[in-house]
Amino acid sequence: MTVEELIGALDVHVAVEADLTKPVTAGYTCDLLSEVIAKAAPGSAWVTIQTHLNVIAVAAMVGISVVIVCEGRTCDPEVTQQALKEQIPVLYSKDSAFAVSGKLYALGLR
Amino acid sequence: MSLAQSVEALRYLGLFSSLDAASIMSPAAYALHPEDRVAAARTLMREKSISGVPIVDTDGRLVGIISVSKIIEALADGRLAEPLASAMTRDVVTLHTHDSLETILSTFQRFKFGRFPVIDDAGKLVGMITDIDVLSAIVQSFYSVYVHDQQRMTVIGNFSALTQEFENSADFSYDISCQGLDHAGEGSARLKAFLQSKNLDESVVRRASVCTYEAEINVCIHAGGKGSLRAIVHDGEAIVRVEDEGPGIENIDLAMKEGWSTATDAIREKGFGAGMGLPNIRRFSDHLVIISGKGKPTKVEMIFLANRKLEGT
Repeated sequence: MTVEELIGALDVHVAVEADLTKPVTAGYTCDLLSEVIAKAAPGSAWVTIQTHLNVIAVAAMVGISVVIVCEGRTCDPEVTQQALKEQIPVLYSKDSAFAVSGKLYALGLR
Repeated sequence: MSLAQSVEALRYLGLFSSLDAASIMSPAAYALHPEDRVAAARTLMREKSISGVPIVDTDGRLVGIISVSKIIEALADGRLAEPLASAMTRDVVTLHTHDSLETILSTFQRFKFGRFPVIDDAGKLVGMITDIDVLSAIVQSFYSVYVHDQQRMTVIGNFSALTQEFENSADFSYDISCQGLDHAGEGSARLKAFLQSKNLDESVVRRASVCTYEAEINVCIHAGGKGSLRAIVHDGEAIVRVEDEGPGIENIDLAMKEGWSTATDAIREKGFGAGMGLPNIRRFSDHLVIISGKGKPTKVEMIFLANRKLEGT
């Protein structure tokens, strides 16, 4: 599944497009950056409520395909600019991390 | 290895560089005055099972020392009732509070005495150092050295815990300097790009990047954002050293525990300070040495060997 296909299946706002053709091969939900960096697989959709600059740094380090920010939270322009620079798509969802994760799971991501 | 060589190794590694006479000494529990009688020294030494007593003037300044052999001489000459001033050694070999471990060891080697009084800048007696004090201080220092090795035997006794090549050169070097956490991770991102450019295998790049990120974040959270990040690459493996200038890790055993952290709530809210940094580093590195202590700089050195499968990916 590509990021674009994932967007079509979720009710999300696309905050940073970057590269929507990236394949999404797994999912990971967590707000602790150390957990994400240690355990999220490259190619993951990362579901979180964190919105600061380090999210992009961690996503880039791990090779995250798309960051999904939940609970209606949004990132500062500095963060979205960095995401664009690192070519990491960022999506906003009004749903909880639980609900978004459930949808991703239903889409077949593990 | 001779004592002189060992002292040289200590200096080279900076292993015990924070140990000075003030931190090694025992407080001076007993002292007598020059006008006290020799018999008083004999009684004190017998009751307290000590083999030497420092002699101080009324201002606490060290003026002499009396040892068992001097007491025996006085006993043989029937001078027990005389003042200590007549029997004590006046030319005392002393240590200063700021003397380094190297100086202390050299003094022990040179003079072969069992104990040395420690004086401050005013010449006042502040403590005593015996060989046991030195040994205890060294043993305690090892509590602040953490070594974890997946594959290799590492012998701290041979001082091979840290990679010496860093003293001369590094293939990659980055000065960590971050205000707050916003731009933390810059150094590890650059290191990742550097390692990729060296065509190291994907597992080495990923593990080294993850561990370096954690170490860099630690510098930013705990050490005022000032530090250095260096790496050496050879034979498909990467050696990374991250150093800062303190305030150090007070208890490395605790810091290695998952979930244990001294980070503030504000930092935790951002998803840091979960107490996973060092445990992650241990998990992903093949060899890890941490040297630190309360009020000391922290050195974290990690080796990433080729051909190790990354867990979970």
